[in-house]
Amino acid sequence: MRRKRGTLVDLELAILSAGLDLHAQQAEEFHGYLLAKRLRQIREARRLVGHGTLYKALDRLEAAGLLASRWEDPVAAAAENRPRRRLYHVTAAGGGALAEASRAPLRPQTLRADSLAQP
Amino acid sequence: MRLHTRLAASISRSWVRVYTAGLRATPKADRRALIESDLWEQAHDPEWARATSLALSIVARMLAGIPSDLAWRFETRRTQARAVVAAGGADIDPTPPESPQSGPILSLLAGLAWAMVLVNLVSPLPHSLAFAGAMLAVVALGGWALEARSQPDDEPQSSFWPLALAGALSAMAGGLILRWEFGGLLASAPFAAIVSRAWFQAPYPRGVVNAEAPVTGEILRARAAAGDVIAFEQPAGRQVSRRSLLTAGVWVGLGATLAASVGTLLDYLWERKPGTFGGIVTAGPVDQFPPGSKTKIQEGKFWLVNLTAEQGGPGFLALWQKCPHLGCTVPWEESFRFTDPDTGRSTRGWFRCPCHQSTYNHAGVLVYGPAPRSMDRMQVEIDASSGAVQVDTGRIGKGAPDNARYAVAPPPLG
Repeated sequence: MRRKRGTLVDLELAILSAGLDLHAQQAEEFHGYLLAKRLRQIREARRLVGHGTLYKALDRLEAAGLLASRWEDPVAAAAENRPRRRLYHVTAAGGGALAEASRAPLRPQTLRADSLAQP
Repeated sequence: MRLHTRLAASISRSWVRVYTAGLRATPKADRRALIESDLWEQAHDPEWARATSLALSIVARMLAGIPSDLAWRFETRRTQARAVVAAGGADIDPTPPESPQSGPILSLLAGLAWAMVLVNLVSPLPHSLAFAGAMLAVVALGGWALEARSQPDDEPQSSFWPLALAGALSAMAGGLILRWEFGGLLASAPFAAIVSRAWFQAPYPRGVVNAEAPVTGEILRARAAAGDVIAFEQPAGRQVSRRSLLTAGVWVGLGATLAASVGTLLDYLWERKPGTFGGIVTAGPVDQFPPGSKTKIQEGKFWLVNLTAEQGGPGFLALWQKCPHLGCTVPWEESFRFTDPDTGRSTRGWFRCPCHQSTYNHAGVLVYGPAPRSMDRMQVEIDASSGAVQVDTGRIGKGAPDNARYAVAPPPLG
């Protein structure tokens, strides 16, 4: 999909909104698969989003400062005998971007993300 | 973890290996860990009651993400190139020891396979899905072999599942194609052989020599900053080793498959010489075709059917031999037994397409299979004076359940 620099596409808005949902339900941080499941609910989709699609969108959002992430402590992961998770959370800028997008009812996908950096 | 799930995870993992091949250590390890975690979380999610749907979901997610994965790879490579330029040409984050060109070629194959799947959604080409399947299998196999070859000794060996699976997949896809094309053989067998040979080579560490412990980008950067000399292993001279021979074999195999796939595809698209097909074809005198007979008229590409009264006749019907599904030539199978879903009676003698088993009755009416409609009819005329059956192969009517209504009765005897 071709798009203007600094705009958010539907998937990215859905990710932000899914992320905020997860925050509202006790989770301070979330990993990719959890987000994929929540996304499926939000978008009323039958399938989970593709690996490549999901993580590339997360990268873009992180580069735009709307998400932040860190690798989970390897000791904690080892204690549960599973691979390390990448943990994401929605930043204040991310919440703002989503709020602004929902205020623009006509074309929510053409929100300018870079305008958020300077409130 | 169930067997299906492990297989599905292995396929996804193989694909990750392919598109991260040749990248710097950090983005590569990060990406692999990211997907590894996702696979684990999904596999251990209690929501999935059926192991099959879990496995299918994993594979579907991998397939759906392929275009983004490739885009991610290109972006990452660009960023790496810029970082090198910014560092004044000094390349200090070591590229992991891997054959440097295999990644892109395998990615190209995956992209091609993906494009074929897309083309199929728009207009189905015969067997191109099998080709796409074979290519994806090759990618999985190749990527996996690539990784196995370059795995350092201290890492655990990857399991043999991807190899077994990719082998089975390519054999399957090859077999599918082989029913019609020789290209399938090229696509699967040499590959499986070459790549599995490559795999059975012992894994070996390559790259940085004067390092006792695993060296990360940070360590190297710090040592470079401290004035340490960073050396990379250089081969002493060009020698033909077993390994380079095997590598060459992989390339030859890759090239052959690509050539075979492209060639066969072009062959499909090439228009055949029309011949006499398209005009009026005289099949012969009426009494040459007894009631109930099916005669193939080669130059007109149709089956001349003389329907009996109980088959919906009496009369002559010319059925175009081309299956309305994907265009295979439909034979009359005299001894094939099938149960008519309408009457529930099992009888012998059906038109049955060898490609996807679409089945048609005496009048060419579809009773089973993926075909969108019954066999198409050509206009039949019986010359009153000579009694010759003439078929206008240029006037084709779409097949329908009432095909038999169009049967042309011969003029009464006498």
